Amino acid sequence: MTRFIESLSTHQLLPPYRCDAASVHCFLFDIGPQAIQTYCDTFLNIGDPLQRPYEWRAIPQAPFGMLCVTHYPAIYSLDPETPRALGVQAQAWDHLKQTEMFVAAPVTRYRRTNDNLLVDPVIEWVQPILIVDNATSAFSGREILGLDWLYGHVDFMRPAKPGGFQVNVTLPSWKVFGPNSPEEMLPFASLTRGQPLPLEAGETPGAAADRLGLSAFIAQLEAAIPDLAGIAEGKFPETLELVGLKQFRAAGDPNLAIYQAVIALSCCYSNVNDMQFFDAAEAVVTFQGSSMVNEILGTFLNVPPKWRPGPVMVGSDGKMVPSQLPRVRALEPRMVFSFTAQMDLTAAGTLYTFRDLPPAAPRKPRASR
Amino acid sequence: MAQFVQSVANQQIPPPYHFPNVTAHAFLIDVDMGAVQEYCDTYFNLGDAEERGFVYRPCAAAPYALLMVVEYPMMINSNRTVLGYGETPFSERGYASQNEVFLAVPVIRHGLTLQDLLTRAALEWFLPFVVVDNSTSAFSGREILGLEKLWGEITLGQGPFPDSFSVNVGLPGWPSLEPTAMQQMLPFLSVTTGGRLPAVGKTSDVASPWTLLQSRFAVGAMQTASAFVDNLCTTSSGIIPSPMRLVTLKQFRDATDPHRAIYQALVGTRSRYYDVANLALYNEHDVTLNLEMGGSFAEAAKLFVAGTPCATGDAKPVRASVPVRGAFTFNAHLDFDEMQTLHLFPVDGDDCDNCDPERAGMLSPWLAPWWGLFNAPPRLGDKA
Repeated sequence: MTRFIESLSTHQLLPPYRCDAASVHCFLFDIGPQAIQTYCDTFLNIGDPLQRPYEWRAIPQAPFGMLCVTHYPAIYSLDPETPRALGVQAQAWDHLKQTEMFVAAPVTRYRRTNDNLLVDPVIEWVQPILIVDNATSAFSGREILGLDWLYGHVDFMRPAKPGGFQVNVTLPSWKVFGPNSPEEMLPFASLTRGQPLPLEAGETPGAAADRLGLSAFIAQLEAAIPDLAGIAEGKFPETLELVGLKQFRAAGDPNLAIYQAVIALSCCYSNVNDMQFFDAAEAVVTFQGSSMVNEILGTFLNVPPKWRPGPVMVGSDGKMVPSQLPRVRALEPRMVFSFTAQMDLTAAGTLYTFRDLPPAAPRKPRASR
Repeated sequence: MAQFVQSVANQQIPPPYHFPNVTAHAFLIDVDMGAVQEYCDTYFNLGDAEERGFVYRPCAAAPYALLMVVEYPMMINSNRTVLGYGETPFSERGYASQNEVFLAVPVIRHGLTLQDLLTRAALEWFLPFVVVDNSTSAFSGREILGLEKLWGEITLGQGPFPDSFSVNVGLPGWPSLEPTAMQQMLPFLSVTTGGRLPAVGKTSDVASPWTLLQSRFAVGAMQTASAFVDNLCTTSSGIIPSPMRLVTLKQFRDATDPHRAIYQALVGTRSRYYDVANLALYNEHDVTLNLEMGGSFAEAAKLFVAGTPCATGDAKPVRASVPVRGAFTFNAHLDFDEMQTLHLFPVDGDDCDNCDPERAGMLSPWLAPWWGLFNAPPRLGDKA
């Protein structure tokens, strides 16, 4: 085995990871199967299809995305070698605090047989957008697990109403694209929701979901994704399988990849507590209007044009004119819930590398929108 | 090799880069030659020497390192790659800015056979750490070039005297090696200078050899020399190189076994300062360079403090004052280019036909133009 040469300057948190009491806040919204399929075709279904052992497809019955804000008061590494190398006896190592925001969408992975049949469907989740507020986590997620973690700020704000919730997310980005436009830390998204629906004595969270008229939607979810069965009873799937493309650029030609592999990750939830449902009508997910945010939304979330932030205008003198619609309601959540849980994240395996496959033909960019 | 799948949402800007009007503050410090050799053996001289064919050694003629603090008001990217979804190319998005602090240590590389002794010889610099306050820059440097870039907080300011300079660098770290210690933003290093020479309010009465250069004539001569050196590379068609060539070990971990490497290569980059202006000196006796060496920073401090034992795991803050041998500041334009894989190490016993696919990358800079004249440019991934 070729050993990775350790250096404290690598500044990485080594998997597997655990957090004992993560708080998870979820907003389910429609994303549309086409956007999910485009993501799969761009990042997973690459190379020669006849030689690729797997094929990823959107799930027509579950064309939704799950926008999650997760706060980890203390996440740590369970890798035993690092403390051992430093002469320390420890099971848990390198504790840090972080908050992340991500969008996940369910997809089906099929195994391709020699006869070109797609068999053995497995439900996995892709994460087109991940933002974390800890650089060590971002380095680790990007360089070890292959997740495209962006570094930004994810801040819990004082809510407007007692018992409410507001999170603001900022990213280094450009207000407007242009040679003289500076990169700044700009607002990306803002999420608010009201108070949790109160439960009568002896009621399960499902009763709250019933009162919110979510029973039919939850039944639809459960039919499409059996792992989500039991969410109304206050349960969350024990394990979510994530999948992502881990790739690195060549130094000499950054348009080429020196390594490309599809990595499967396993995210396990245990000790799920405090499942609460919220009125989706009171929840607002807004995005800031800027060139870069518009591009990310248009690329990954397929937000309908009517809901996109208004374009940022540039005046005739080249100066920016403040948009009349700096922030608009961009997503309409269908279901909003939260819970606390112990979370374990580890790499389940490298599904395959592209080393032995013929290179993919260069993709033609879409016509500009 | 396959195409990299471009994405607007991966916060990475591929080269080439141009950095106009940077302000650099440089501090010359001693380094422990033994520590430099250990670094070379750990990160560059990997595997069997005969198979590798080259060796990195400390530069005996230059037992020093440069601690550089660089302000980049504008980082311009000229990569016109069209992204996967038809998004705006990198070059048309805008510019970024950042502050950067790094340590640069010179090393000598040469071939191991009589034939390669000079043809593979080069003076290169390695950066044991780089701290930037721009995350896009950190991701790009780490993932494309393999640089040990860390994200931190860099606060620039003025010291207690007119025309003086100060910098404070904070890094996320662990204050001790206690298993339950929580990561915090901790002070890592700080530098304070006196005023630029000739200084007002000089703090030190000790004469500095550098003050010999404080006259208008001397500084003018140095600027002329700098300009001459700038053009030397161009006028000699690269045969006599002047830029700083960096070398770094680019490596990535396996996802399931993070102690296993899936890729290891030496990567070279050229950083070229030109149009140097406003060169000014500080009295090195006025410079205070403090380094925090406690907790998780002990390892990073080894190259800084020649001969000083590191207090690994000490829960109390351990601060070292590092003597500075010279200090100066200047403005310049800076280009980062000529990124290339110098040497690819075999991973997990791969027979690796292409372990040295870019042989020209290991050539001495003086030989590179002649190699290019008589050979087609090799590309990574070409069969030998």
